[in-house]
Amino acid sequence: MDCCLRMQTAIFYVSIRLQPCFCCIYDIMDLNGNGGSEERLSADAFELVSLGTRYWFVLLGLIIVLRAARWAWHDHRSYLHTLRSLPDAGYIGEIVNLDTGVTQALPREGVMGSGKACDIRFKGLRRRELLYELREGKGILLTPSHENNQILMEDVPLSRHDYALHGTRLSFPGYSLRMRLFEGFDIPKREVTSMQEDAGYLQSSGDFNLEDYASESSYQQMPMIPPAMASRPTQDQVQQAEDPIGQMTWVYASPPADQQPDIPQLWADASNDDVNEAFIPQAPEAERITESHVRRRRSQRHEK
Amino acid sequence: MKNSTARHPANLLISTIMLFLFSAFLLLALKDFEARGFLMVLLVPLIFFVATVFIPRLFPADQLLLCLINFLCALGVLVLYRMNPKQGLDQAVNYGIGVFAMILCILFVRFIRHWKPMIMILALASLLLMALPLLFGVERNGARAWVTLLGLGFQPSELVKVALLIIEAYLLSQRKIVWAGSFAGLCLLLLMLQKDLGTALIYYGVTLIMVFAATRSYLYLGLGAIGAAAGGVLGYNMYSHVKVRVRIWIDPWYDYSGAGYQIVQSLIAMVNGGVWGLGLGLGNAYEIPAFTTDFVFSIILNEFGLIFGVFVVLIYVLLFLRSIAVAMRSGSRVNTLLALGASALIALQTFVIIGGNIKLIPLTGVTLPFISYGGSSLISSLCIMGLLQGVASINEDEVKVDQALARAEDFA
Repeated sequence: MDCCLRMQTAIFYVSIRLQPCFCCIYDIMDLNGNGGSEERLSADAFELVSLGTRYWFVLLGLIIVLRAARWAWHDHRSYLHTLRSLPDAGYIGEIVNLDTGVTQALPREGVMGSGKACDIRFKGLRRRELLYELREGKGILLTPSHENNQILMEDVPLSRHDYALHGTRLSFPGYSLRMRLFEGFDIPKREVTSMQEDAGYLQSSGDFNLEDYASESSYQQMPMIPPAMASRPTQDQVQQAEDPIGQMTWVYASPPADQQPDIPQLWADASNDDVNEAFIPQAPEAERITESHVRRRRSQRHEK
Repeated sequence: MKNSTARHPANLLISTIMLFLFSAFLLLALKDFEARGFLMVLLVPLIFFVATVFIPRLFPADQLLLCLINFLCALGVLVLYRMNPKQGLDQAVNYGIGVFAMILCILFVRFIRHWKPMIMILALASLLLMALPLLFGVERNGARAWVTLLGLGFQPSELVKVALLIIEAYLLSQRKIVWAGSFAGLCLLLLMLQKDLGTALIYYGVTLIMVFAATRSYLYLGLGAIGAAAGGVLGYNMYSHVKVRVRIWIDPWYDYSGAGYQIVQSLIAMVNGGVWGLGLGLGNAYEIPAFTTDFVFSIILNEFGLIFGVFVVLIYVLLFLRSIAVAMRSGSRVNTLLALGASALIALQTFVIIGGNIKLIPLTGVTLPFISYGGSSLISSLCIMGLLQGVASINEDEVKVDQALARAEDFA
């Protein structure tokens, strides 16, 4: 009895549910004999189609969200991978503590000081000691946060703002720092030779080509900037100009022979040619840098 | 051989969105069986495709961001076309203009290197624009925020949003916090005089977020929060319509045929929609007075259902997260602040209006970005996204330069 009742209920329910469907079929096939005067869907047919497409739209909405999320995740991972393979990305150089040899990466612009929010932090300084920003074609603009500061740039007090370049020495109370840049080589020619000799030394060592970084036209158009150090070279600079390698105390000194890591000399062995070839970058395919090519900082590679 | 291009998430997402738009507009076209309906079936997916696929070919851009923005814009055109075909067509035209404006903003961010000379001009022009409604404005819905010039009606505060982001980003990047605060304060004052409190809330929130990001000072954040609370109390006591809004937020049924009519109808429409919606073209939300502007999210819930509504919110969340990622990847302070401000503005505006629709917070008269009807709103939202895309474009360039340098060193 219960079973029959349930079955009757089910049939009734299904017939009610399917009624619009039958109407739709009748409309579409013109079985009602209306003559098909109207081309548009009837209200019942449209209702049926619209009710059915609700699930379709929700499904498409779900797919859109999932695919967008997957794309975002995929892109985030590839960006992290790119960052790992390009540790210098976003940095313009580094600042070296001449006393300890410790370096800190130098973002394009930021704040030096002791505060938590500072990009370059040194204990003992003021919370915000110095603002800096790379200005294209001019150098790094240094702006002290306080007028009564004790900052020296190339032993000259930095009262207002001034431009620093590759190799510029900064002195804070208790700290002696040197800037090492790998960006901003399109800075104008200067009378002081130490910078250019640095660049010449690096260029001759094959690490980079200055002309790659600065086109001829922009190089010539750059205005001459008289930085503080340009007018009167310091003793340090003179020594550096005479013996650039020996006087570059801020360059990483290579460790003693007994402390040097044992690096396998694969290229010295002819049997490793296959391995060596695998590491020769191919120009068109070099877009993607694989996990195994995790790079060292560019500045460290210069020291090799 | 695996076809990596076909399986790229970009192609999958773009094809799915185009399928969605095509099927939705086809359904509406079958209902009316008019030529313009079939025109929309082709036109809107085409604009979406052009805006998503061809802009990144002109210059590097964040394609995912573009894809999400264009989807929301096309969804807005769809919903508006369903409710009022004329407004839908207007919105499609505004969408096309907005895409053009977005390209201009991308170029602006990409190629302007010296912001300083234009900031003063931009600030003065913005203040002048903001003052226009006080002189020649028309009052709508309690706010005197509209101006009609040469037969063209627009809301200056929507256009000034773009300028606000640029000016604040520049000034804060130069640590000129007093100037940044003064400009924002003047804008807020003019908005208060116009009684446009929803927009004032957004301006205030965005400025506060940008100041905090620039200074990382909890002091400013705390002062800003206190200021917001004080402003809220002041607004409540100064303006009678604020009191009404708060009252209907607490209990919309106390005057369901008067002050609470909009929100009550909106709630009814959302409940009618249920989980799966009433079906596209079968909705019954015409009773909501501002159904194409302030309450467009209720229409979406009514016709597409709660689940789809959640997906729309998730798309806004993805858009926000992506925008934050663009801001964090930027190497320049001004670009970071610009991208952060843009993402905060869109997120805040979305929260304010969706929160108002679902009775989470008191209702304020702002538009749902990219979806609500309104040329000023859509174009300004796309301009803001253009600024964001410009920053993303610069980021892409910088990564490419780094990769090129790395390759050059490998060769050396």
